Amino acid sequence: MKQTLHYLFHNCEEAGRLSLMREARQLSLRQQIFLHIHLLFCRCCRNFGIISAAIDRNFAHQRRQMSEQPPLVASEEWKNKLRDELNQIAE
Amino acid sequence: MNFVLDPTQWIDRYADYLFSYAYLRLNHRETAEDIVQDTFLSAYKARAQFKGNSHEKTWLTAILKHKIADYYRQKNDHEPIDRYLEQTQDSFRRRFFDDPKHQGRWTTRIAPTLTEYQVETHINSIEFSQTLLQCLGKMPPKLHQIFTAKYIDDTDSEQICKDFALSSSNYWVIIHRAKVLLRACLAQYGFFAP
Ligand SMILES: [Zn+2]
Repeated sequence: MKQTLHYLFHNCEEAGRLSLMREARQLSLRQQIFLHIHLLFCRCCRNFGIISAAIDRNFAHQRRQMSEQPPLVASEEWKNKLRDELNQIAE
Repeated sequence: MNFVLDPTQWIDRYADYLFSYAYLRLNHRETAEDIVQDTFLSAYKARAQFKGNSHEKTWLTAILKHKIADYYRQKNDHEPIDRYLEQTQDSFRRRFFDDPKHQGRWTTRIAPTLTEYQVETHINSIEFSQTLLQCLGKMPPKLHQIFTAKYIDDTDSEQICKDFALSSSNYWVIIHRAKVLLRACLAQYGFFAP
């Protein structure tokens, strides 16, 4: 019993991993129960879950934008070199 | 629908996009430039095989993705990801999950903090997006390649495990470690920090 409790509360690493797996619906019943109880008592892991979800949402947002508004700009020098090369093999 | 290729416009239309994508997956400017160059050249040589059933941009992106996958396959043959995870497990734990009073719990001085209003104000702001990409760039390469396959490329977990010869459990170890590092980096820049 003491060991079980220790495992439950002193395992934020496992809890964090399970909270990510939960989003992919990959938890066994036992894991779901462990996570549920751990989160009830651990504010840090609750915070981690919320921040993690925020990170996911931002990446989804950036993926949607990437095609129309690429976040980076390639160097003009490199682009000119590429144009030359494409022209060369096109001739 | 029948799409056509217009190679004379490729660089103007797609170079920034393909470069952005490649850079975010590879985290190295020269490698990204080389692989995109290679993509344009092999696409041009293979233009006769273009069937016209997808947009040329989709076609070019698919070729680039193949090349990135090949690049990582070769690289990981030399330094397997599993070995990296074993070697770094202890130091990761000591840094994040080693509270002196409560072993196994979040180390107090580095634990995630949050106030209610923080999430909604940040979530799609330009500052947050840019900082997130900056923190992504600081991630160790072995974590970076898997993490960006999921979050930049949006590949599903089963496919990633196949592509990188990973077990499902190691896949989640990687995603978790990467997230913990990202979160800590964001806090250093003042996001979700007290
Ligand atoms: Zn916890």
